[in-house]
Formats: sequence, structure tokens, C-alpha cells
Amino acid sequence: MSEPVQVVWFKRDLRVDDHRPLSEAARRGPVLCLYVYESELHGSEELTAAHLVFLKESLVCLERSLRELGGALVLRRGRVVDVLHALKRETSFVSLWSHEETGSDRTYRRDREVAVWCREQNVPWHEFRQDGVVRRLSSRNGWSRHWEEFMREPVVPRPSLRGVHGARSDASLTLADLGAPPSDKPEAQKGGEDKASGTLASFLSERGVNYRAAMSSPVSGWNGCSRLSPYLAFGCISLRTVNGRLAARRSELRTADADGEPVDRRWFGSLQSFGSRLRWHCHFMQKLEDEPRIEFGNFVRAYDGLREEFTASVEGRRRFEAWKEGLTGYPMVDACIRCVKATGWLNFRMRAMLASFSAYHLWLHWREPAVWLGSHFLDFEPGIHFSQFQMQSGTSGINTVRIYSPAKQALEQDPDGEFIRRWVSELRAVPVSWLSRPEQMPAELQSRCGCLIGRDYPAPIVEHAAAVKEARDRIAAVRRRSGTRTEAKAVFVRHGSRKKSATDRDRKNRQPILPGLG
Amino acid sequence: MRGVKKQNLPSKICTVCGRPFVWRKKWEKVWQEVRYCSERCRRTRPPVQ
Repeated sequence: MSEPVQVVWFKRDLRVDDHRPLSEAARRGPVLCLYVYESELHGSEELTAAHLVFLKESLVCLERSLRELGGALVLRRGRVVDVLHALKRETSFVSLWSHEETGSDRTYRRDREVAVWCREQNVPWHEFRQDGVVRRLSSRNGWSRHWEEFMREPVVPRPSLRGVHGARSDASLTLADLGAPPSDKPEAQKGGEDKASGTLASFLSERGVNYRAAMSSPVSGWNGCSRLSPYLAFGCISLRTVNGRLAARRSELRTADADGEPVDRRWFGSLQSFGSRLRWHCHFMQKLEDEPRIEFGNFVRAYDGLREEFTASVEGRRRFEAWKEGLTGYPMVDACIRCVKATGWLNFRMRAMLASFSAYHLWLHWREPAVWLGSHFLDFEPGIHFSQFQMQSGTSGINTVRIYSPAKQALEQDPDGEFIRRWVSELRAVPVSWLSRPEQMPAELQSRCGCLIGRDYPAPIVEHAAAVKEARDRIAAVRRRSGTRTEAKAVFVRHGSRKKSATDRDRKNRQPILPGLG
Repeated sequence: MRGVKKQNLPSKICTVCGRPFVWRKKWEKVWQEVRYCSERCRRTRPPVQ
């Protein structure tokens, strides 16, 4: 019998730096690095053509790095348990190493199958945390301390590897053969650990200076946001690495400032804001980790049945189609939809606006819009995505109802009309004052600028003020019921952030939300 | 704009009617903020929602 083989299963962690399963496995002997193209996952709505292109780019980079370290990447196709079973016959595979994953139901079910297989085959499966998400968390109290402790641990250096002879990729599955499916997103970001690292470096050294102000607008956010999201989603860089480099940069700036060197003051607030968002990343994923059903159902069940019937109606279907096509007659909404379809990215504020618009203005249940939009986000991260969609739809129970006005967002975040004109070409000749509400143009102006509302660009699919009022009333009616309040409190205990907001701190004598939790 | 020939004066596009308009003496201190070509356009701009 040849030397025992450690199998490192790469999932959403396509890197060699700060990869603890890889380095732990390498200490124990020859390592087989595995990536599985899963028949039920790759090609599904959560891994579409654009994702697969990004994935391939990331795998190419990973394979190169693994080879430099003395290892190799083995690609297989099929169900993971079948692949593992085959590897067990081909090699003297003794234990399985991977990161914990907080993914969709598909990946959760697959992981449980793998766990069963490992038990049956007597193969230990060593799983490691890869971010601030805590598995089998008993209580949300003190969660941020766990986060801090994890981030303070040193980054794991890349190990040197001893490869395994014999185990090969499937004959039909080399990286070259994989090709890349034709992507519908030519402007999408490119995958790979090297790209991730470069993106972080340019953000911390230059692009991030105005982050706090730039992140709200889809125009300034394009360069002013970190753009790390797809790299974090595919694990091309670890959150600990990001947080560590952020901390180093902040202390560098503080030192420079103390030494009297000229420092742009905006850096301080911007990097603080960025740091908060690294925590929120895990805070939202933790919700899915603790309660996987929120991918499908409302946090607060009192909201069940509120939108379902309308969503399934003919008018509901018509509205959903218009929203997906970017033909709602609300230019900011339509521009955002078209931007995300072409590029796979949108800044957070605009994502929230799209979710809020589908839930309140259009009165659509969040589930279908969330799945559809997720399939277009290159950085689709189920835990953040579904928690956020529910929050923006008012079904989380613990957040204030926030309804965005697309016209107001257009005026504030795209004052020159640059973004709307780029993505909604029908409106290119419309003078900027009318871009947020083109239907208000006098008929004479419509014909003069070649944009007749109803012919060249749709009239608003719903009337803003009436739609918002109706939605607010319907949500409020459910919210007022005592059962809803009881449930919402339970959601807070299970998922709510324990951090006091500024307003809570200001009102010292305020009743705590729950006795003892406050 | 003293000494600038009339045909060389700066111009802008009115954000309401979309037509170009030319610099005037009365705007010399506020030209940067001028958005509308006329009182009529200023008054017919759509209300902010």
C-alpha cells in the first residue's frame, strides 16, 4: 500500500494563501487537490455562464500556484460522493480536508451527503472556518468577539506540497478542455487569486480614499467601492487577509498623520466604513448558517401569504417580467437592472433599491426576484443575498420598513444622468431634469427629443405615491398584530445585531428591546 | 467676458428644454450654477418626488 493520501477539496476557497485545510493536510503527507464540477450545481441558477467563466479563471490561477508549490489540481465531474468514492478506489485516500461553507440549500444537502459518506467509509472530514461565520452558534450574544478573535489569528502561509501520483483529472476535464461557456457579461470582473490581491491593493492605496461618499452612487461606486465581492464569494482572497491589510493600512495612515505628513482626511472615515462592511458580510451570512430555511421562507412567518397570490396573478407576472427586462418606466430601476445583467455588479444602495422596488412598488414576493437577481450577481453570496432581500422586503421583522424612491435616487446618485443614459439608451436625448421622471415631459418635448412615452420608453408601471402608500399600509397591518411582534422578538434574539445604534445610545432612558438584551 | 466676441461666449444645454443657451452678463457671478435657459424653463421643471 502506498503512502496515505490527504484529499483537499476546494470549494469556495480558490486560493493558496490563508488556506488552513491545505496547509494542515500538507503537514501530514502527499496531498491531492480536488475540484469537482458538480452536475447539480454548475450550470444551475447560482452558477451561470458568467460565474463559470470567473470560476475557470480562478481555477487556472489556482492550478498554477499549486504547481509552483509542488502539487497539482485534479478536476473531476459528477456528484461529489461519487467522485470521492472513485478516488478512494484509485488512491490510498485517508482523510478529507475543506473549509466550512455557508451556501445555498443545494450545497448544504451535498455537504450532508458527503458527511454521511465519510462516516460510512470511515474517512475523517476536517472542516475549518474561513470567515467570521460560526457553526453551531449557541447564541448571538458576543458574536462580534468571535469575529474579532478569528480575524486576529495570523494568516496561514502557503505550504509546500507533495503531490500524488496516479490520480488524474477526468480524461474529458482538463482546464484547457473546459473552455469557458459563452458569457452574457463581457464586462464582468476577471477571476483569480492574483486579481483579488491586486484589487485589494489598489483599493487600499488609491481607490478607497472617498469610499464613504462614493459607495452610494453607481457612478462613483464603480471604482470607489472595493470590488472585492466576487473574490470573497469564490474565496480568491480570505476575509482575514482583507481585514489584516486594512488594519495595516489604517495604522500606516495614522502614523503618517502623526508624523505630520500630508494625509487626505477622507481616508480615515472611508476605511472605518469599509471595516464595518467586512463585519456585516459575516453578520448576514451567519443568519443563513443559523437558519437555512430563510433561503425560501420569511424570517417572520406572520408575513406568509401577504404577497404570494398577487405575485402569481397575471398582473404579478407582467410586473415581474417588466422588472427583469428593465422596462418598468422608472429609469433608475431600469438602468440598474440592465447594468447588472451586463456587468454582474451593482453598488449596494442600488441593489437595495431594486429589491425594495420589486417588493413594495410591484408587490412581488421576494423569492423569485431574489433568485433571478442572484443569478446575475457575479458575487452571489446566498447568506447576504437572501437576508438582505428579506430585509428590503420587510419580512425580517426587525428592520424599519425602508422604501426607496427611484426618482430621488436618480436625482441624488446620478445627478448628471450619466448612469441612466449609459444603460437606458432610449433616454439618451432626454434633458437631464426629466431623466428621473421622463413621463412628465410635455408632449412637445417628447417628440422633439425622440422619446415618446409609451412608444419608445414605457410609462411608469405603477404610480409611485399610491403604490408606496398601499404597500406601507399592508405591511403595517401585519406588523401591528401581536403575533407578529412576538415572532419579531424571537427573530431579534436569534439573528439581530447586538450593536447599539447611535440613536439607541443617545436615548439613555429608552426601554430595552428585550429585557436583558437592550 | 470683456473682450470676448459674442459668438465665442460659453454656452450650456438647458436641463429642462435641452436647447443650448449662451452666457449673459447678469450670470457672470453664478454661471457655474446656471441650469435653465429661461424663467419659463425654471418654472416648468418637474417637481421632485
